[in-house]
Amino acid sequence: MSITTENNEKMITLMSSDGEEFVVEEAVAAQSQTIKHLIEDGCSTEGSIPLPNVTGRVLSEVIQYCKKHSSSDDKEEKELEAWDAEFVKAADDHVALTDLMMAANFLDIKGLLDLVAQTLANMITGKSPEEVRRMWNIKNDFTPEEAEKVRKENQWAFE
Amino acid sequence: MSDQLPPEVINDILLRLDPPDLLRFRCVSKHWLAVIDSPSFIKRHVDRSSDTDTHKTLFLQKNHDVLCSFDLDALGPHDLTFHELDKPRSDPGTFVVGSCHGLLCLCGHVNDTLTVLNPATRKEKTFSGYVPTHHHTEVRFARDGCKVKWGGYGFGYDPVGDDYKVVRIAHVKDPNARTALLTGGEFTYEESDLFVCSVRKQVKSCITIPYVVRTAMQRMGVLVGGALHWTAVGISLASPLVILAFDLATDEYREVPHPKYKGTGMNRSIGVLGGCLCVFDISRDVCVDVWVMKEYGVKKSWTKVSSFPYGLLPCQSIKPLGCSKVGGEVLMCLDDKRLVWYDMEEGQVYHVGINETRKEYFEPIVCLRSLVSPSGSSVGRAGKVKQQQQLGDRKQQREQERTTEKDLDFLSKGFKLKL
Repeated sequence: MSITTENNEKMITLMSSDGEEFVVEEAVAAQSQTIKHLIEDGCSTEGSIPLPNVTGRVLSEVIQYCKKHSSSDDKEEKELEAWDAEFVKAADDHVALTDLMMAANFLDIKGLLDLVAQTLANMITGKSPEEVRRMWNIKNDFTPEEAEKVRKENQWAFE
Repeated sequence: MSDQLPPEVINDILLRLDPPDLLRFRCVSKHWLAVIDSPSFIKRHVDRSSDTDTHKTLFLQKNHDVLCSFDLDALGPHDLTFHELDKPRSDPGTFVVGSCHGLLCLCGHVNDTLTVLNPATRKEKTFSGYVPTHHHTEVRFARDGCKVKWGGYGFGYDPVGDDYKVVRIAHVKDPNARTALLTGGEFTYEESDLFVCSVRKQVKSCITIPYVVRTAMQRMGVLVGGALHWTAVGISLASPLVILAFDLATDEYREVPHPKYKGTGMNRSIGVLGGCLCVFDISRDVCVDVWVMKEYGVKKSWTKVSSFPYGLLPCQSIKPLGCSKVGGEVLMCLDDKRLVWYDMEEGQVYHVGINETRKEYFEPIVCLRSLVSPSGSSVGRAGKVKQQQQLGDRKQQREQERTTEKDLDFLSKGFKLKL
């Protein structure tokens, strides 16, 4: 469904995996390469664009990011950086950030992906393998002997 | 809720980490180990660090001995203090040949021993005798009483052969040549022999080039556009200064066209600025013009990006080392003995408090922090497979295990490992 606002901005509707609908300006949504291509292919003319991989909670955050980044120009770079820092801080923890990163990956929004990936990278910098496994429930599939061998190859990095 | 980390985003996170974290995270799981060790990841990590100007270490070699390292990433805006990394490494009697993809190449002054090391992973490979042994400094050369003197050198990557190459140039001087008389009895360098050695394949070759590298200026080749560059003069007496390029993929030499200089060109230093070949055209007591070749090899892409009064930074040579994260500040080494930040927009100079006395000369070099193996990853892998195939009986296998353990002990000692 495409409607037009008073400012002659074309609006499109996005639907999250849990059925929540978001009406946004096309220019905002088109920051996502995935959505941009769907619009170009004519998917936005009939009803809303379904985004089966993104929940409403995450999608609202993504839209918040896209709105901010489509309304700012290059001159406000410093302000935008500060906004980005607040934005990832508000996402709270690595679980929410991982959700956001998955959405950015699926929707193909480079700026957001860079921002969240860097935040997560900073989070795990200096951490032990055990701490990283706990963060994302990663199974340690090494035998004790294998683990010891891999560890010994760069023992200094653990000291 | 994603309490799992999907495989498609692991790479995006890991690409942003420094080698010590990556080496530790090889232990997280078999999947992480496979990702981090894969040649494609190692290459992407190098590419990303180059593109984003991150994961860079500045090395200073003092008195051909101690290598001090400083984290270039740790610099904030207008922050002039470097954060010194680790313990300094001492390599007495060596000089730094060059740096590429996170590998540093060192060469012994006396015995031509070459060491390729990755300071970030603490792995290294040493090999010797890559040039005929009679090519030591100022020794008699095989052909009819000629003498040779070492000139330029460099280190870089050959994308065609997928190998790293070490280059050294020897000036051949002929005391019997007629030109000797014209220069007041001084020996005149007739031509140069350029030696190339590939690190992985250990292939050695030599070509004769009709140029002499200006050793009073920069000896270390400037690596850009897949070639090493030096300022040199041709063999004829009236030859002007040229930018000599040696292409690491084709093993051919060529001249890079100069910009249309406006200065007097008393001294010209070449370097890399923002990934482009650049020239500092130094006109003594007048000004210094900074030229950048925006598109490598294209003469008309030479652009004058800055010009400042000579009095601001009086010097004979300038080596650009990198740009600050914010703004237009360039870190430069002047006359191999002092470091300055030059703010191109404001025209301001900030001196860096290293080597305050300015009596000591040092060689600065910027090196990425990468996972690239000094011995070449493909060699390492092929070698392992071969070893396993050769395992015949259990006895051999036990011996193999013992050797591996010994190697691993070595690994834990870091730097001392010989691959």
